[in-house]
Amino acid sequence: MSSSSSKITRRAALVAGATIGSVGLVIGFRHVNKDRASRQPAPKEVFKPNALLRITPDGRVTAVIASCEMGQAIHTALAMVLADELDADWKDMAVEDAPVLPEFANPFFNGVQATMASTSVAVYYDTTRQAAAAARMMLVEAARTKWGVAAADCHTSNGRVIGPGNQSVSYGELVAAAADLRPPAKEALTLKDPKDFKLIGRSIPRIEGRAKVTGQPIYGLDVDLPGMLTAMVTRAPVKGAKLKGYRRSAAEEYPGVRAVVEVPSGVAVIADHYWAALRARELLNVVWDLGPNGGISSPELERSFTALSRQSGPIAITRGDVAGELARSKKKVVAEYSVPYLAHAPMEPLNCTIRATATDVDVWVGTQYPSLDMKVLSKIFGLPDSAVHLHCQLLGGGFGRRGSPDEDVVAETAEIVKASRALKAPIRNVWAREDDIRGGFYRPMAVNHLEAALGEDGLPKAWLHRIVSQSPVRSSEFDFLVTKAIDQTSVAGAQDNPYAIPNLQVELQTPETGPTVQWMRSVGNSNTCFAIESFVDELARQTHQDPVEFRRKLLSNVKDNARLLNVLNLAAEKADWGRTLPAGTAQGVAIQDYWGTKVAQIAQVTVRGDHVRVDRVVCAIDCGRVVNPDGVTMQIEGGIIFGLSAALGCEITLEGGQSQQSNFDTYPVLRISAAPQIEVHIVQNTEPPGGAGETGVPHIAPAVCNAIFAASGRRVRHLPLTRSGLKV
Amino acid sequence: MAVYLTINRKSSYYQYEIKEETSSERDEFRSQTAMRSFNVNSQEYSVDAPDGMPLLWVLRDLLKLRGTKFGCGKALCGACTVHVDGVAVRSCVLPVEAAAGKRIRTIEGLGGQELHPLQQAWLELQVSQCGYCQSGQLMSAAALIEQNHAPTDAQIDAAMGGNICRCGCYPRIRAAIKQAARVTYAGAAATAS
Repeated sequence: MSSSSSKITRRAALVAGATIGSVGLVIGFRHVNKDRASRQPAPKEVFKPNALLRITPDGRVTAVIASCEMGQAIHTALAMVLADELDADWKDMAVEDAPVLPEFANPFFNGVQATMASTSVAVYYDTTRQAAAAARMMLVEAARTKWGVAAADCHTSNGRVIGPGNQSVSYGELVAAAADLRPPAKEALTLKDPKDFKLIGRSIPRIEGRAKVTGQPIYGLDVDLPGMLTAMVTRAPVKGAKLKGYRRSAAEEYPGVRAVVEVPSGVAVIADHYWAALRARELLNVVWDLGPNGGISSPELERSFTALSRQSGPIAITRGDVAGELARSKKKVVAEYSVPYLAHAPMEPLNCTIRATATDVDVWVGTQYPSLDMKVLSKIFGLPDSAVHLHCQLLGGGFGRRGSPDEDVVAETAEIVKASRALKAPIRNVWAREDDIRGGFYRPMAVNHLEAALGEDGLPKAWLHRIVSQSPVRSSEFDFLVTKAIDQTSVAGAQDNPYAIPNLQVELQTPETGPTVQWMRSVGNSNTCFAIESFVDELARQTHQDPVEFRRKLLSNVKDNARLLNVLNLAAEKADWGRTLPAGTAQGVAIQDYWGTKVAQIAQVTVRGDHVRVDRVVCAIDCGRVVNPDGVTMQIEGGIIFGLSAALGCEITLEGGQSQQSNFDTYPVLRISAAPQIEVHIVQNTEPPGGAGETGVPHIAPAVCNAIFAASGRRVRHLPLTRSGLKV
Repeated sequence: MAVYLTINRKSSYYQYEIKEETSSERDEFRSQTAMRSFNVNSQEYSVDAPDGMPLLWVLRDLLKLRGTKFGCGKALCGACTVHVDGVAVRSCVLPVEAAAGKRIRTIEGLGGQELHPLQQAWLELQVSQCGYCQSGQLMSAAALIEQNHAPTDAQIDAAMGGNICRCGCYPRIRAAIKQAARVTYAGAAATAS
């Protein structure tokens, strides 16, 4: 028996869905001069062999990077890959956000150019190396010609070509000669032997680090243009609400206000600065006809989702005879788990700045989804793509929110600019924190119903997992991930359940009712990992088995589980699993393969009365070849803290269709006092590089809740744990 | 300050009837502008700003000093932390009239020609991820170590509790504060212990 036959891998799932209409994997170096900037003849003083890099006579190497930088150090990681393959000197490296071009499309995403789902290193590693290798070979060719020697007698190191004898020449000095050469064919490329890597595998400080500690204006909200005005919008408080009326003159007369305009999302006040816009907006007193969604409340939604979870639904995967085994079972376990709606709440409030003329549109925004921004802008302004100029800024956090299914913030800003053309001013649209937390586009609430039939050996013979969740990808460009009524992101982690269970069925129901939803860091896995790993823990406890040992048994004998088993063992060893701890303190474990990256976490928790303290978390991760180990460590640390916010206290609840939370007082993201000690152990190997950015998130909630059970006998089945009467 | 925090009470989100503007409301929202002077990072500034405008927006939108960040507008996240006469305050709720005549220090003035030891430690330990909250974190940390030359984890947690980092840099923030304090006050701490 092997569960691997039914597993989907990230590549299989995403590429299978991407076959129709996909632009495929386009290698940058085949597209010389396709870049908008290089449609004019390239000046001789710049060597620009492809869209991914350019070198100037001063030796500066600029890596053009498709992935946005939102803290995950991807600019650094991809620049490292490029510099290593190019044999550039790290000191000479600079980075730049890529324009929207086919060369930069994310092949996992049906040709969309977006930074999501921990894909960046996985998808751009090879293409970046190939682009750099082409440039390196051209520089060698230029030097070889100059010296009249054979290419085989030259090599490269630290930004120089070194020839026979002691002669050497810097890349900068070769720029003009190399610019005249034709790039080598893909088949002719020679890539470095990984054993010769100088940067890949080393912890290199992030390239924009200094700007971030000295307060440089590097984020979207820091953009400042001459004559720029600030807009704030009063938006429909529930999805589908209709504007009934508002008090225009009061806002218009407020000092500093330049205009009040209606846009599809609501009513915008445009003023000289943020403060005037905010104050004047308060005077609008907009009245809405809330429509049918005005009746939505969380208790009601939870009841209906839970009722659905008790009925059979569309099947994502099935093997064996689950119904029969459950009916025949002498030892059946049933449990239900739920996770709430969540707001992403990046620290930089949402914003976008646009300057439009009759012929051109310039937009400054921290975005995860440049290709949709281009589409949205060219459509709203009725201009060709070539007239839209996207200036990507650094993101003050993203977590998925800065790439929404309809790029609502960018679209709204465009509508404001269009509606206020008479002002002839660039406009910065800013969302207050309250707008963000009340504004929808939440991580979906989900209810899970699980049933297991335990055999004589205490191991599950049959497993039924029903999930009820709105779909974050339906009606988006990512709807290729919905196959036969199953949103693959909602069942991720569940349909590829790694355990040796002979009879297994996963079902998914996808209600339409609820607030707007979208993907959030780790997407559906943040739900499925909580449900599965809590339930596995319950099964182990019911049969008096050690939770780590129980998982080992269920993982062994299954092909492809070696790496997952390895991280479980590594985490158990580093956490000293099973050691004696004081009363009230205990460990809990959770594992999951997150789209190819294997992660195990062990949390140590102390429970005193109703108070929970997470003392320490040990994480083992195997994400294949690691480009920047400290970058991975940082992402795991951050993922754990992000997941803890969700586990310990955050939730969006609705009353009258509207969020009852609005700012960090009612949406208590984790503060430093609740942050545990975190230890990250990276498995070093030479497997293809995988993702890291989201992979620390899913496991922490079940690891903590399993530890709470071990420490106190209290089982948390509904997040956040405040719902179980516990508190931080 | 308390009065100030009530300004957002008239948020329009939950009002379903159009109300006539009252004269007192009109007064509240028709605040006067006036020239205000203060010293920011050892430079004198005079600016025409309305009563009640928070220092944060005076710095960012009027003086174009954009290192100080906006995160919540309600003194809940600490991204806007600056020093006013040496004390760490949340500039998003400090009315400009309360800051007038004061000595203000922002992230742009934390280091001089060289990096402040905290900025140095932040780089050495690679604290920042998205980096957006770090101006506020650094200003809170600077106020802390100026007061307490060898803070413990618990003291750091207490002093930094008002500064949210959504990326989860907290463990590194603790380590970096201790390292910077050690570097800056090694002699003093050794003497004290």
